[in-house]
Amino acid sequence: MSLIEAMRVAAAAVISNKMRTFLTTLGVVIGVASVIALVSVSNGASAMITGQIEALGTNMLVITPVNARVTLTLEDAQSLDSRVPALSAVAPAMSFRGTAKWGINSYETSIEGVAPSHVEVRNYEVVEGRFISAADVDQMRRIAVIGHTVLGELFKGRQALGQQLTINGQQFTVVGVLAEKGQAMGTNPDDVVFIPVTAAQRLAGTTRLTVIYARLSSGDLATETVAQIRRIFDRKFGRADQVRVQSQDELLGAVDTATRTLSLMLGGIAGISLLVGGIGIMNIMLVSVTERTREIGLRKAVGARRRDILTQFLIEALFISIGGGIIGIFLGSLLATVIARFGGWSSAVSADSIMLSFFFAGAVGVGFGMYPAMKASRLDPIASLRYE
Amino acid sequence: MIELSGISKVYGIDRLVHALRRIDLKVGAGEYVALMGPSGSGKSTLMNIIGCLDRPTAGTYLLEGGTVSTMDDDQLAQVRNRMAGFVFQTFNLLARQTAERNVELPLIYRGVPGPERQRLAMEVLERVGLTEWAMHQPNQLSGGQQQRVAIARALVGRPRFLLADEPTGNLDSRSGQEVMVLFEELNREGMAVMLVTHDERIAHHAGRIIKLLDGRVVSDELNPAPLDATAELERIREQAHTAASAGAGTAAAGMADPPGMADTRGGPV
Ligand SMILES: Nc1ncnc2c1ncn2[C@@H]1O[C@H](COP(=O)(O)OP(=O)(O)OP(=O)(O)O)[C@@H](O)[C@H]1O
Ligand SMILES: [Mg+2]
Repeated sequence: MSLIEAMRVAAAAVISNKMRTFLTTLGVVIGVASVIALVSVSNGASAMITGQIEALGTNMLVITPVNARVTLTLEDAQSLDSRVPALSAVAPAMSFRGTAKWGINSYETSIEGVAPSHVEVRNYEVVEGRFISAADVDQMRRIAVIGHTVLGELFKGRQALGQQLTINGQQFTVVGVLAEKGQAMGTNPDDVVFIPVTAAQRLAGTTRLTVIYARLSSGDLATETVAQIRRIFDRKFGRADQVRVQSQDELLGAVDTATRTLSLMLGGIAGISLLVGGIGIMNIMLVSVTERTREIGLRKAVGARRRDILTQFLIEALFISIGGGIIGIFLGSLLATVIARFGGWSSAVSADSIMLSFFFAGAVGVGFGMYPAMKASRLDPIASLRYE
Repeated sequence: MIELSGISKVYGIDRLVHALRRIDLKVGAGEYVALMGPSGSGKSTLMNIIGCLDRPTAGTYLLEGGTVSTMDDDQLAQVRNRMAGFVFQTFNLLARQTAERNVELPLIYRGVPGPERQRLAMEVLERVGLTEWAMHQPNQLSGGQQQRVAIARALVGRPRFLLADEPTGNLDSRSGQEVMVLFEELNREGMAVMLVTHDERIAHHAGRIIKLLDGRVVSDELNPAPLDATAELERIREQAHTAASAGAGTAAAGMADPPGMADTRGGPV
């Protein structure tokens, strides 16, 4: 029997039991849809985080306290600057979410207390006015440099320089406006108000820093420098591992590990649901073989060989599983798009995951359809013709 | 053409049932054979072995000089496809497929391309007088029509012989007789026909009558004066006509005509 003929017969069988076929495909639909959606979500989320890390710039070290009891201060930043020659710049920062107000406009953004070195370390560019100076930091001046997004949201494109902003109830004068850096994979480095780090600490009533950024003069020195920085802090706190010193590579590595764990988990979920779907297919195919025992007997009587019957039933199982796969791909893509909209990352359903799901759906069809098809192909023609 | 020697068939493992005991039988090309015998005497078993649907437990079966008894499943399938045409008591048509598609079936497994299949199927459907019914599904046909579709299916591959196991068993006498007319015509054209029946009258259409008992051939005789199937059909029609015009009630008419009435056990697969 030709393949086309086998497909025709299988299609007729699948169509003649629409409801049953639909219910059987559900397992595969759910399996495939969850793979597509979850893979897309994990890709989108990890791309967003990766983008945030990459936006830091290369040759960057990020020093953070391991927990809330550990305090990093401006003195720590200064001592790193003077004692570690491999660092070309050190940028302490104290940041929090705050509301900036101008007239009746108000906008919630990231308030970051920083030092003059920040503009260089983070690759910002001042288009109007100036950045924060050493004197601003020393004298705790209430001045602010605003990012491009804040300019748009708060000042709606009007002249911002020299205007008075209110941040958490305190007045700040805008002395500079930054050039647009542009979205980096979902994060917005332009959604920020920079103020002197000392002013930020006073506003928050603390002497802590949230983070110290440090730029290496050369990437080759990373390992040694990280070790040296660790020693300095070990000595200061009198015990090891009170701060986290991470290079961009390490951060990316951490995200990568997390992503891989996530992928493995998703693979597990997908595997289980496809397994369940496959069992459903096997079950319905066994029913189908039993129901059509007499048909099989007759086909054999008029000359069908084992492989003719095998092909017919395998194709039937494949139709169910691949049909489910296709519906699952559509449903999963839809779901991924919706979730991405809420998550704020760009949804990308990768061609890889579509191919993979399609392939798996097919494999499930063949894998779980094989036993019933073999069973059908081995039926004895006379016994089958007598079957009631 | 068909040559059985020492054919036995034993069923069961613990309690053995000897369905056939050392049967020797030759059937030549173009013969018309009726197989009779009480229930359980082994008629169907013998037909299945001759039709290559089943293998004997012992003995050799030569078909056109080829040894069937040693063939594997796929070879048997091919022999069935090319040599034998089966007609069953219960028609065994595929439901939800048109008569024409049902008739095509043996050709599908022979790899005949679609248009050619349709042409051949329509040809045999015309031969059995069902051209107008070609696009109908089995459940839209009477029992007699269904059996004629089944005969068309058996004929479409131009087999060497036709095997019919109680082909009239589920039909009223008139539809049954129509089937017998077909067999007679086919046999005149040179087709070997073997049929199983319980009905002496049906059996007497054949040129040779074989009787089985407990798996043995107890008589194998030529029928010197076979019944003329067409004349028989005429007689049955007349009977029905007289019964109807005499207003003899429903009993006699029921015996003769309405299609579907006798169609209780038979039906689509
Ligand atoms: N698959 C089987 N397993 C066991 N015994 C069987 C099987 N098929 C047939 N038999 C036995 O073999 C014997 C012959 O059966 P067969 O069907 O050939 O009889 P038959 O002459 O066709 O009878 P009937 O007129 O009722 O159709 C019977 O005793 C039957 O019970
Ligand atoms: Mg029988």
